[in-house]
Amino acid sequence: MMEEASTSASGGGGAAANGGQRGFPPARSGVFYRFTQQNLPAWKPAMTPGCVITIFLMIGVTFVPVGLVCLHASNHVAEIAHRYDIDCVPNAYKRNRQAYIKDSSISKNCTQEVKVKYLMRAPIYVYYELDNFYQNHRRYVKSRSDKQLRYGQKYTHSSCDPIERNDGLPIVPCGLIAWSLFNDTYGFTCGSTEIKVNRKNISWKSDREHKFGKDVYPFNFQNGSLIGGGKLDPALPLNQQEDLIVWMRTAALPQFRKLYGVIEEDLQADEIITMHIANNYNTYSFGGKKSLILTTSTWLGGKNDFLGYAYLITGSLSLFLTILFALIHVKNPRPHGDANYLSWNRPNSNS
Amino acid sequence: IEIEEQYPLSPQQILLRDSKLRNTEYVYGVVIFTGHDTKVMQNAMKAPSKRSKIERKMDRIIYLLLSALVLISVIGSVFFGITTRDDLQDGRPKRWYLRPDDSTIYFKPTKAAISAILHFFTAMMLYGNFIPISLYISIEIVKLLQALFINQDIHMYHEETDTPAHARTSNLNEELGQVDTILTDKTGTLTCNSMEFIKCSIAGTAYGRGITEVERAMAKRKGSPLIADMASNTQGSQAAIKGFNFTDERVMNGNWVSQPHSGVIQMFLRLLAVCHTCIPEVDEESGTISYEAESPDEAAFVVAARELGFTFYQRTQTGVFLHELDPSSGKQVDRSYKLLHVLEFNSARKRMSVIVRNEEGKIFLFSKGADSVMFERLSSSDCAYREVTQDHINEYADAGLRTLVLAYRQLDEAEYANFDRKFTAAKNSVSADRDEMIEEAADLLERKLILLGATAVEFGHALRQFSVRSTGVGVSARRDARDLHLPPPSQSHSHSQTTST
Repeated sequence: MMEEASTSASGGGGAAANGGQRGFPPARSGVFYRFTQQNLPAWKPAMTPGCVITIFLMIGVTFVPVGLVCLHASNHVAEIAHRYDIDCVPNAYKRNRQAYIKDSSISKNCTQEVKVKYLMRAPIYVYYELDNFYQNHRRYVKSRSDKQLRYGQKYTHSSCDPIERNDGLPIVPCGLIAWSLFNDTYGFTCGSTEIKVNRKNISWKSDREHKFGKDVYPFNFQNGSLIGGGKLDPALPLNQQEDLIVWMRTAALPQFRKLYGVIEEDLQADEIITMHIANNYNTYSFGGKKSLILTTSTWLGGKNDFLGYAYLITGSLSLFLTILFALIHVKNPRPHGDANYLSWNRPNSNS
Repeated sequence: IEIEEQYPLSPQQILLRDSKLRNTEYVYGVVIFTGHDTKVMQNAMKAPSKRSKIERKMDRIIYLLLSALVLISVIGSVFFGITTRDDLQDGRPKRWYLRPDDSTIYFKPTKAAISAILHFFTAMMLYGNFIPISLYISIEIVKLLQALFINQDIHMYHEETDTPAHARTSNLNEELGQVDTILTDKTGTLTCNSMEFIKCSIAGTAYGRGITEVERAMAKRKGSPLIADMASNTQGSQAAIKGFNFTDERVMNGNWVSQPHSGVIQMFLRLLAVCHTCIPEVDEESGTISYEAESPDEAAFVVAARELGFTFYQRTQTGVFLHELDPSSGKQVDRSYKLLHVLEFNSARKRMSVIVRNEEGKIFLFSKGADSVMFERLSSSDCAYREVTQDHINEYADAGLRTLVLAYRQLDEAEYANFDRKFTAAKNSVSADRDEMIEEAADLLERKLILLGATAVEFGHALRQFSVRSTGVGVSARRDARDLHLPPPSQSHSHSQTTST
């Protein structure tokens, strides 16, 4: 607050005191004169009807084709989505799925068949999709130690609680996220031919190089009485455990997909694909869903119509406004004023 | 028997708050009227904090956002509590990946209510960025820069006094420029707190060739080129003196000595130089004299007397000192006058008088005041130029000038002694009718005056500065016939103070 104590001026006096006396009068020219007098030229646009109509027309003409192109690219994505968590439960355990998933003596292998409707060109991405799984829960998100993943077990941190130590020994990798690693596995055959799934390079390159150490090995992992998810190979460093790296990039929403692998050969239309699933992960206790996704990709990404529809609606709205304004302008032309009367066009009369 | 000397006590001797004490060696401290019931104490209060519309609107927006923040946090915490409690059912966890069976107080399903309350505070902290606290700082910086621009605006710079605009506070920058009408009452006169001596009438002869603004406007309306040419000629001839716009070769530069009524002119100028309450201030570097006056017309009179040869240069408690132009020798002569009494101006009396004793021992009463009260106190034996002076006064009033009548009288010792005794007794009394007694005593003396002449003073060109075209401000003033009788200097003084503050 720029405030000065203002002294009350004594009234009267024939000879007025010179307040604010300076040694020289203020400059009336120079480099900063126009800046201090706020007289610098500036662009002040005037929205005339022709100008507005032209702008909306250009927006519409541009956005509608872009929207159509985006929709076309999205429609060219071939996708197979198959939910398997219900079908893979044996009939004897339909009413008590938790007993089935928790009983390690029961085989979890499951075979499902799907039909390929359209030609799917390589590469074909294999995703698993989970629903109603809150990876964004505050306790879940905070339960990890990035330093430990990068540098080793001596950096085990209390933020990993409650999956931090077991029998006094640190757990590597620690935290709820790693402990609840997704452990379903998938295999594919077509007739009697096995379809190879490439499990390499499914994580981010920056994650492998900068966030997970190449000298950090799993230690004391899933050794407790309570096992949450999948186990890790103790002989592989963390930066090669790509399933773990993919899983630890937590999803923002309760429904998410994560990459499992890539199929490098084409799938012909009308083929029957047999999926061999190991249904190990428990989503029955919290009412979750599990799905297996086979999808192709375009320059726009996966199958997503939102961007195309957004462009299409905006462009259509602009074209509608163009026609509306043009009709209004033709039917009821409104004479706009002379631009010479605008304050910046008027000769300066405030001197 | 030694008589103890008594001094009268009047508002003249009281130093009010914010007074400046000058030319005084010591003062007495006297308790007169004090306590919380005095007007000064009742008016003393804290200045209210000024808040602009932008700040008040911003406060309302911040309160709205704060309410939204609290609402979001409450709703989120309620749902958080519900879902946290559901995580354990009959001892078996539902969302097993959160380990609800091994949890801290923040996520404990068995104490979901406490977890929800703690989550409320967590949410308040996490969503605190919702409140734009830095917006206040940004607006404050913008206002500071605006104040800098105001200080540097060339259109708000006064060249005459070398005074730039000075934004003392940046609170109300955006509230500028909201005045659209100035309303004045019928007796209010918009002045610039400056007066210019422009004309006078001495011994029935009018002096001064200046053209007033009113006359110039009327001439322009009539289309008379002669007066306009005369005005342009005279204006470019001499350097401007503050308060003095008088041009007449008959009396300037000492030429009044050769006028037919030089004795009356001499007394006229002497009265101008003596009959006032101004205090001179001498500039030590340049030696020029400026005057501190109670009203600007008093200063104009003293300046006029100085320009015409009667320089008032010093005042003491009991005396007034002049440099006078002696008509017999044509040189400046130092003269001193012992100041015996000052009869002050007020709105009831409408006149001011001083009683002085010159170096030869003669006692004079000098008086000046409004023509309505001065003409009735003139000596009836001297009617030579009374009517002519009245005509001059009417002409001056028509031209928009303010007039005063000047008269004097010589007193003998017995008359003065009688007055002195009564006046001093009246001043020293503390009864309720003190003012009446003072006026009675003064009235005894202010009679049978000898007319000297009249002065005409033009007030500053204030209305020109309120040009409707440039500022968009409309000026509305009521006028009627009585405006021609201009108010006395006291009212002008008060209005000038109002205008200047």
